[in-house]
Amino acid sequence: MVSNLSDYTTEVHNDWCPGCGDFGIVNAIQMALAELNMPRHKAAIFSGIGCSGKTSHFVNVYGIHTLHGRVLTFAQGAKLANPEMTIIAAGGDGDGLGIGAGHFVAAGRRNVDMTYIIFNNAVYGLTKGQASPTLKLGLKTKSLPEPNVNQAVNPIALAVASGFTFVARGYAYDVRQLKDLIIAAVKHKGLAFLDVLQPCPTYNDINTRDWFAGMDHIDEITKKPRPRIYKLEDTGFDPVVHIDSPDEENEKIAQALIKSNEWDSKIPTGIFYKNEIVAPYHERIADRIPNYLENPPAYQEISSGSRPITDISKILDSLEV
Amino acid sequence: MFQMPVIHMMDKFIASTVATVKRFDLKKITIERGKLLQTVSTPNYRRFEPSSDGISPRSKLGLENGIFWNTGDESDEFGHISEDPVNRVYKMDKRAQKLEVALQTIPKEDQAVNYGTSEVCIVSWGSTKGPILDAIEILKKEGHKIGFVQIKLLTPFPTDYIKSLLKNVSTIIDIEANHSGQLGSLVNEHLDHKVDYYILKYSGRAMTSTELYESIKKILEKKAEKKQVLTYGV
Repeated sequence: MVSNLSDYTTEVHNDWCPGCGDFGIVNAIQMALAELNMPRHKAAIFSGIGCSGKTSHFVNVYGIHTLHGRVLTFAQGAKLANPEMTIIAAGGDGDGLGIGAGHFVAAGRRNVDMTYIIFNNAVYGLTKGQASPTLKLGLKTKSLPEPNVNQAVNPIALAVASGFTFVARGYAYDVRQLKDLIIAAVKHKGLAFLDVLQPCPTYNDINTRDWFAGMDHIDEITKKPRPRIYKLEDTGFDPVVHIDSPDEENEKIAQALIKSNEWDSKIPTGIFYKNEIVAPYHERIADRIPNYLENPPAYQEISSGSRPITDISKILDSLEV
Repeated sequence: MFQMPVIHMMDKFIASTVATVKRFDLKKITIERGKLLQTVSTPNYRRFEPSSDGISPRSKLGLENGIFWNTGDESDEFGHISEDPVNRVYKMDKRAQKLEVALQTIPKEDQAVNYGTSEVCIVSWGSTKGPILDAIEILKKEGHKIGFVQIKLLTPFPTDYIKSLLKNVSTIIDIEANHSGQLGSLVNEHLDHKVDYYILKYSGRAMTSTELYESIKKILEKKAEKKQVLTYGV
């Protein structure tokens, strides 16, 4: 069976603002699922709270709209219970890097085989545009009475440092590249992080579509805009850890961190880091529970009729006095 | 079974108590999965479809044709986020109905345990049960008959059942290991007969039968304040 894009769309009314970058991300997710020919019941989208939280309702696969900052906990739990599922977590930068920052770091340490997409617009768009954890120090977006007093967190660097084994950045208005990145993230063996630059046309009046396109950044000779966004793959950048050696790993981590600090005049997209040598979490579990993948929790019977099938009589024997 | 979260309240005394108990009778343990679907044969499954008892059959992740959505905001029959006012009333009523069904289904002995009622009757919950029964025993030897109803189900509150147990009671004594008499507040909210006396302890130490005996005795002698605070233990 070949899937069509329409297989993955729902009829839920979309109330995102006109021009919102979120539309491009949802389209890219739907296109990626279609290209992967994903059986609808084998995929689940978990979302956090914020404008991006509605993503799960717009995609016709299992959709769980969870709690603020907690999307990774639900999503990891689902993947561990049922490793056959393709799990995509989606949330905002405020959700995932503010209240959810602890879960973000903890998820990196586990390396569960799933994908996490952050819709990164540097503001809390649902609640009228307060500064989010990714807004740069000193910027004053239109809802702020004073310039941002906090430093911005660097999502790419944080993901690499936390142990995510696939770290990439997309741009909401480059849907084709984004679709390819989502497919690569889903196929990656381990925890994949996708930072998606997503202009918020309502509240972020600095990092706009025109700004990313370099409309304020005219080349003196050609008189044309110099786009800020460029693709790492166009520069021959090799993000992959090819061999199991500390030197190789250190080199790839270091170049990813250096690239992650580029901003202002040149902003890289594409894959920053990819390491399939680190064991994903299900392999670590299977080392301890040999039949974990054949008989994961989601398929285990716990009762027969109304009787539990777990026999605890031996434990009780050992406690008898 | 009712597709709702359950909060099992404990207190510190129970949590840090070690006791030798009779071997559990495993034959008494049952697992009721409720309306949990193993297969879904037709498309257009609606997770929250109307149901006479308010509880709709539940699918699970990975089930073919069983796709659903969940959200913490209000949702329609599919689970999709919805702010429609008509749907909102339907979903609120549907959830509230489950509490009614739970109250009708949960066995009486799990709602409250009646250790005998009398003109003077104690209501309490949790670890206070042991010292209360001991104190009642001491008072019995002195010729005082004291009733005791241990309330186990707090929400939904078994109003009619508790009312029937306390119908001939003239004095209600609320005994609790907290500062404000939280069970007492529930009794006052749901029953016409309000709590007459409170005996509370919140020092972080367990209640003793001795101090309970003394404080109940004061009530019987009409020498007690409305609220007595217990302090035994170091």
